[in-house]
Amino acid sequence: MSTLDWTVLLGTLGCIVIYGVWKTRGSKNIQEYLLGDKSMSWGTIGLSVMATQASAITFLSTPGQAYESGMAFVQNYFGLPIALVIISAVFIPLYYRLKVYTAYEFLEKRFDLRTRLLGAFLFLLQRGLAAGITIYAPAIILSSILHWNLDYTILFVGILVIIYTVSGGTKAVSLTQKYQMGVIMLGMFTAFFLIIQRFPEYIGFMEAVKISGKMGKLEVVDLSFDYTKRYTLWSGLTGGLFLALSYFGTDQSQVQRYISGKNITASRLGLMFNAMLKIPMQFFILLVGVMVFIFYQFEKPPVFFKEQGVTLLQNSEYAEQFSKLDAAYSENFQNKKEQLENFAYAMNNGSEEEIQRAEQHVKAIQQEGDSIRSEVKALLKTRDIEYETKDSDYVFLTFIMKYMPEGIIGLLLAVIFSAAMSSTSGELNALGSTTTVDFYKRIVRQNGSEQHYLVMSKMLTAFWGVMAIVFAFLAKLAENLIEMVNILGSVFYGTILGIFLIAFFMRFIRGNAVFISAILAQMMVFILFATTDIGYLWYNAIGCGAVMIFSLILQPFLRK
Amino acid sequence: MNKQLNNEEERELREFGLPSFMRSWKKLYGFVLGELALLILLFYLFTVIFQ
Repeated sequence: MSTLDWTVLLGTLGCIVIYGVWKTRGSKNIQEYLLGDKSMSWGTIGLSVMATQASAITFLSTPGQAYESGMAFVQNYFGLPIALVIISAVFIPLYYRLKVYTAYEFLEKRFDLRTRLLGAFLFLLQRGLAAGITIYAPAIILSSILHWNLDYTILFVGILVIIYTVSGGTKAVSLTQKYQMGVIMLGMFTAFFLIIQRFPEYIGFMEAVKISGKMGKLEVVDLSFDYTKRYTLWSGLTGGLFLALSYFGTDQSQVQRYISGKNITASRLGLMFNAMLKIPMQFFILLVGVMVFIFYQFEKPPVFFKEQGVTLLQNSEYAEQFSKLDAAYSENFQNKKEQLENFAYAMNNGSEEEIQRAEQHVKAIQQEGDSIRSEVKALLKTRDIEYETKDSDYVFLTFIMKYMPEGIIGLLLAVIFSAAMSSTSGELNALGSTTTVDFYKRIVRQNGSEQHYLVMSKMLTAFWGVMAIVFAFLAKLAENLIEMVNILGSVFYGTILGIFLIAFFMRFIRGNAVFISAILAQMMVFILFATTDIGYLWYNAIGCGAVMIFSLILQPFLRK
Repeated sequence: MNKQLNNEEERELREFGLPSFMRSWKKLYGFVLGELALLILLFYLFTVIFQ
């Protein structure tokens, strides 16, 4: 990396962190520290909610996912606007009326203490682990491609986030997230235009879109009813709705962002901002991935994107086999490039028959290339059965490092670090708040002074920061990093959402029934997850439905 | 009468600060859900046209 890149990267991150710490120094009480003194405007809330959700994984893994399997992933977000409308209309007024610090306080007012603690415990469990992955995921990719030390990369991100999150609390988190989101959007738009500029002269944006469509990368909406498919319109609208309802409505890392609004309108408009922009934003990030795919149709991509895997094969008894596969892949690339040139020409000047013929040629060569890549992956598995052969998370960063100009590399790395820091800070802030308010203040010490709780909040936020770093050190590479976080969420979120939906909409169900049902539902989800192939988004609906059905069955037999 | 006044106050409190082209939350929610329907339709057409 050049000096200019280092200057851009460290300058951007440093300015945001120093400004955040300086601007929000000296919180006087717990309301100021945990709720930002309830002074946030709708714009700050909107960007803060968006930045908390969009982690570094979003910007590393999502383009890679589009490169590998197209744009169907965007369907995952179709339920999100519906969920945000429900939260805005039903959840927010209640949170405001009850003047809560955390979402789980509401559960005690509606049911009892143990249901509140169960909700808070499930949140701490899954969000505590997720915070570790949020730091680990970009660190492993950055360290692998840039040859940085993994442990130091984790420590760099972790310590920087702990400094400003502990120092300024919610205000610092929201303020820094606003600027981090600005850097992220600037970086992604810059990357998008630079990728298109690097296409060959005869390929414009429209030709790129047409070619990627013909190569199966633009299947955005899938109307099929196959429940084992991960992304369909129906799983997005139902599973995605449950996931978003649970994440935005009951996960403290999001609830804390919008209950810090200066009034109910600011909170609601902040959520509506996300309801309108999240899907276009996700579509755009996937489109960046598709454009990288097109770029690599004219510039030879590596046969396997993880350099470490290539080195592993080159230094093994499979070196010769790998070398042959690599040569075959190069030949395949040259063939495909020639056919794509014919295809592009046919699209502009040829007859329908010529276009179809060229398309079939390209598809056949593409399949051949894919099978060579599969053979390389199989070889890696033979070499090491434990080796993770999914390399799509490495596609975008490999492209950035090799083909982006000086300065822009620094900016795009700042995008990845900003995203990692913005989501981690939101998580640590929420983990610290929940531990302070729902456990320490409620159970350990009920009559402490404001100053005492303020100090405890800071200490517990720092504690979760250290825990996130420890989890990051312990993390193992999952099949796909963004999916790992979503899977983890889906396994727990259904149960939490079920408890909240009963609290909001089924007034006749009481504490005993909901508590027992929640435990039974969570056990059922664990068993299904371990024994079936159901798409993970469905666990949100299954867990939630199970809590509601069990509660309805149990309520007549239980008094309270 | 009092109840009516309270409702009016509550409505004003909740809808104060809405964008000028949106007169009520219901309209804003309808607008958001309309945008979702439009996006799904556009994505579907995008899929069909470029397949």
